[in-house]
Amino acid sequence: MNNTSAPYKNILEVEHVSNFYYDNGLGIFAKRKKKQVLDDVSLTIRDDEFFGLVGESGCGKTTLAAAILGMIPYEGTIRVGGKEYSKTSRSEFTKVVQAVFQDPLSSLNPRKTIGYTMREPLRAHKIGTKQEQIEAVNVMLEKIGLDASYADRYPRELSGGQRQRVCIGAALMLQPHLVIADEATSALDVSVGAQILNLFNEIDAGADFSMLFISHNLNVEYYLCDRIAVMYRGWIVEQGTAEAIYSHAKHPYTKLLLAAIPDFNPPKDDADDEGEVLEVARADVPGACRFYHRCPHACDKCLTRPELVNIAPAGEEEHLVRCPVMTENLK
Amino acid sequence: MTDTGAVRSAGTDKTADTARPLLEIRNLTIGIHEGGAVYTAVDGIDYDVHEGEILGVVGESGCGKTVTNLAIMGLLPEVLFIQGGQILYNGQDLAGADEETRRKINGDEFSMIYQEPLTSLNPLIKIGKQVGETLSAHDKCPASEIEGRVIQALADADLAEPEKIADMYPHQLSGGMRQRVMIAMATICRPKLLIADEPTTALDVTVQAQVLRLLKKINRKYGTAIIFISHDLAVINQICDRVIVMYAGKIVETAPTRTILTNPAHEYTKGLIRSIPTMERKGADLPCIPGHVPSTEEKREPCPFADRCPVADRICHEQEPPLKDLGDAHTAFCHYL
Repeated sequence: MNNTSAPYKNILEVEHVSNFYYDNGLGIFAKRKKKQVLDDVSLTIRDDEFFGLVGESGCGKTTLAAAILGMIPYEGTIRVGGKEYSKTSRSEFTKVVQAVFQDPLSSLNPRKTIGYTMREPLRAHKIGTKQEQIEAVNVMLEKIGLDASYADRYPRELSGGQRQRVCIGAALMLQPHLVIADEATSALDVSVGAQILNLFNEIDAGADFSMLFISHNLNVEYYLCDRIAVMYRGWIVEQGTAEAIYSHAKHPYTKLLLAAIPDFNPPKDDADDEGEVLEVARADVPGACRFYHRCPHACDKCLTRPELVNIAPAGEEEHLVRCPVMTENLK
Repeated sequence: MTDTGAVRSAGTDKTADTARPLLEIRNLTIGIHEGGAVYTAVDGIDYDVHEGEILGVVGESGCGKTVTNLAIMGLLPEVLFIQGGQILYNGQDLAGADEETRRKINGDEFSMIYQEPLTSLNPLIKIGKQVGETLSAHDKCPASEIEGRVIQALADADLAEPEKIADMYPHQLSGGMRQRVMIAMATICRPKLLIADEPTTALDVTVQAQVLRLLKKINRKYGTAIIFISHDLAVINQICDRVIVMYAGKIVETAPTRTILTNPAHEYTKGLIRSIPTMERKGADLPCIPGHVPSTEEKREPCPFADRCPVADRICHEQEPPLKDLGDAHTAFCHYL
């Protein structure tokens, strides 16, 4: 998958995407404030690639997914399969891109059977006769590890993991090229989450698709994804192969994130011992690096907007880092 | 695989020289009313909580970990009820305790923090007043001292500028700060037992690390025993001394945290640990447990895990598994140990 010699076909190109919302504030006379969520986000997902997006709540992960899905207004360019889809080609778009969300119960219509829900995409696109559609649903049910009898059941009769399987199945009915999975395993138990992760891998082995996998869990991202981007307050602060991010993280925020993951090593007993200082508190400076207020390495260089710098040796997969201090040290 | 280590009596997991445990749960059974029928949510479990320890309770959704601890607090919702067994605190059975006894204990000697701090805080009352409420309800100190105690409690919970925070409303705080406020509120009366039900699940991983440190600090500083409920073994590892693994309303294994992680005995615990995605497992299939957790309405086998267990035999479907003592405070319910 990481074959660098062949020219890539990019399924998703996000170029300089920014997005704003208006904060009405409190009180009826409060001034509407324009607030920025995504700030000049660019990323590319190649064909047949699993791309991970990780970050804390409020960093803009889901906003980016919503922008890609065309659910919110944005500035910039988003191309799927080389084409910019506007609202007019919505039906074309849904054939190419599908989404799986965090809470499967709220994604399924409680009044419709599983079979109905899964047939819906085929019906909407008028693909095949009714009999063929039912056939296709049965094949998909098999693929996602449920049997044909589930077609007549209702969402409430299923467990959380089974519901998420149905959501994934429904998303794959049209054989999309890109699946956007927004925290698809976060609401599930560990052992059920593992089944879903396996399912993604299995299906990918049979029918090629690319995935934007959004999660706050870096372990899951590392397990599933080829490349990972780390977001912080609307910026991509670091991007590289899963290996580079997990083992050779450069950005102070990525390091903080990695250190905070609870692991299985014996914990240090001293509750006050924090080891290496990874986080400090200082006042935010407008225009400075967005991590300035927490960064232990912050200095004057950080007072202007840092750019993403590729630190990987020529010919290797990019490793982009948005930190003037860390990239300086490498030169 | 021998039967010699089998012990049936409850409470054998505690060492002989420890004093009477803070809390003893004896054969606790909790039923659930559902559509006119009664099912079992928690099935005759026994465990002790010792003074000053952090006890982890781990299990998947629906295994009864939350329900058990709601029963300890006397906060079971209407559909759930205690069918049998005892909750012994200082020799007193709390299972049938009246409202009056509960009021005295809850907030003062026992307290609880929940997963979602925003829904536990009153949106219309300032933080300072909400935190101080526990003190005034239990007549802990004169009204004039409450404010000082509240500020102190907020500072103890590692909140910067506690005076400012006391004067704010819940919506003005971040998730992590709200959870700290909840912890301040729960510990202001210096309870003997704090039940923390998935307190970090809704938080970001960096904030989670801070909250775990805070809970540990409170445990060390005031000797507060903590029952820490979580579905995440890695989080349990950060904080707990001892772990109870629950499955489908039963305890399947109890051991010190290190033992559970490095040398699990029960097949369910093994499966749980194996299914966690880690660095070494990248790309490989995660060995997951086949099947699903039986729901409360389903008929359960004598060993609830029998249907999914790789070593299960006929006996597992016919007889209840015995409690086996594996030494060093490690016990498990299984025929094949």
